[in-house]
Amino acid sequence: MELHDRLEEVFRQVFDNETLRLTDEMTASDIEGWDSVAHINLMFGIEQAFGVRFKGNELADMKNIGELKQFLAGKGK
Amino acid sequence: MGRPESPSGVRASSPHTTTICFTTQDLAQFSAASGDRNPLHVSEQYARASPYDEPVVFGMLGVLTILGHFPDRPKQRLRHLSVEFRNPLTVGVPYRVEIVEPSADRAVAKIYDAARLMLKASMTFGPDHQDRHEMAEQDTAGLAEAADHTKSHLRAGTRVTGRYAPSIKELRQLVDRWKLSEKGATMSDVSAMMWASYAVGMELPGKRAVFWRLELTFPAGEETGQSPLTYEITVQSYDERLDLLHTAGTLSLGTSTCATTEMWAFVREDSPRPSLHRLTTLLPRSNRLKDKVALVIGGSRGLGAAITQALASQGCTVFLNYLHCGEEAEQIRTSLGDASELIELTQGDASDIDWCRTLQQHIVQRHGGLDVLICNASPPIRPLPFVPEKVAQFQTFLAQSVALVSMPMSTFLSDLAQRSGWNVLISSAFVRDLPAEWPHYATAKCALEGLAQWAAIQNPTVHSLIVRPPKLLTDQTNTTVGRHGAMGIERAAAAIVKQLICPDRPPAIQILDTF
Repeated sequence: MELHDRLEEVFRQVFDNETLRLTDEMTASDIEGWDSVAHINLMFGIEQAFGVRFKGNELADMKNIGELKQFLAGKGK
Repeated sequence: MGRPESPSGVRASSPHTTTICFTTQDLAQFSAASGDRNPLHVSEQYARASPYDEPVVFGMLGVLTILGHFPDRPKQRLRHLSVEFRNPLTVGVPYRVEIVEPSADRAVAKIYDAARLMLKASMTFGPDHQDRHEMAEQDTAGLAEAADHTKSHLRAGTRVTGRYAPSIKELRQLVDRWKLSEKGATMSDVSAMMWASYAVGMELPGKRAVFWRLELTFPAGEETGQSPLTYEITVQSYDERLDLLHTAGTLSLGTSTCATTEMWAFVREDSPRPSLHRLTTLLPRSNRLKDKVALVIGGSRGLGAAITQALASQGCTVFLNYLHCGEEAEQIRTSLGDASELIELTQGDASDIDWCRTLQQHIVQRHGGLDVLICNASPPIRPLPFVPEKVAQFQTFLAQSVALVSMPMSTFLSDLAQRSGWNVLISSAFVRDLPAEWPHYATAKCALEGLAQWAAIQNPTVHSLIVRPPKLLTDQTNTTVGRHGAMGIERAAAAIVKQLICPDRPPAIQILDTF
């Protein structure tokens, strides 16, 4: 499965939305329910699915989905 | 092959929805049955100083309640339970429950507050070949108080053991109420679920716990032996980034294993308290507000408490209003040391006309009038989805917010006008950066800024200050993620009081949004 599809699957699980479609320009404010608890669920969901580990609150500092995908691609995922 | 239609009429794989609501009696019953006395669930005073502001429903009570709404499962028994505690459940809120059965041996239940997912529980069932054992009351008492482990104790390998003794009478009442034994959960299974709540809330990490995830497995082997139930819990890891504790545990009955579990819980920090030391590094002590009199509405905690300290540190006489938190108010007063006599505590509801008028008379008699009014109080702020079924709550929040400011402001404006005083409204940076989860809060603050501007125009001798602090580190934001990027309350308080001590400033409306 492509990185984008794997990431989309994690987002769908975390945000309980089977129709959620990610785009590179999307930010936290574009996704309903992206609150502090969902943020932690997302962080762990991505870590488990991709075998990466965020430093501190690295995920919160990423400006959009495109930057997150670049981060994961940079880790060889 | 699908399971046949159950006696309750819910066919396998068909979605089933219902509504549940928790009462304080439900919490008391669960606490008595499980022995989980974590104060976040049973102490109003303790919960008020938490980010949740009111007692939180035991997550496992939520799971047992939805299990009670499952279709009957004759000849089946719970084998595995996986729970995500997404958001805190509270008393008196009608929650929607959605139950889906993807296969004959699986069920997934979700609790929603409007569209917000609060809890997700996945259950797997297997054949039940065992005889049901009656559980006997045990004479072992559990922990009377929740353990309070700090981070340094929560290292991988830390292990606790003990005996678990649920109250059989209360447990049976709960099992009978929800007909849980007909849903695939025996008394022993329900005991194990309660023990998981006890293990997190009373043992590891104990008092500071916020349950996040649970994996609970019920082995298929035959139960042997009777009492006592014993347990062992071991720390697997502690994630410093998120203050998240991962533990694994086993509950045994005699020599056989009743349940094995993996549990994840956040470990909450202490409630943030204003520091006079930090404050005086930003705002050195002085007498520049000597002979001035201030009233801080909502002054016992958070920014209001820091403003109270800052005003008194400048020689100002301060009336500190609080509603519930008398202990915290007293701590703020005593923190001032020699200057503590400048602070007078005044308990009451600032939205009450009689209370405001009585206080006004008292202040005029004692000091001749008022120089500074700080309107800082707000109802508890919780996420509120903007959907039709929540509009009544939205309106209540708005009414309370406006009342907590408009009543003292209307009472004291004439006093402020006579002394060319300051009318200070604590608004929020959220009036510009509107938060998705808090439409009610953003609306209230925008409305109150409108009121403050109206008051300024109608009372040209009054100095008006609208303060828009960014996210502050308070009880409200004291969560793992909430603390990230939150500004210290002392910095905001110092910036506000510096505005009040600028000499000879002509009355005008000012907006303070840089700190």
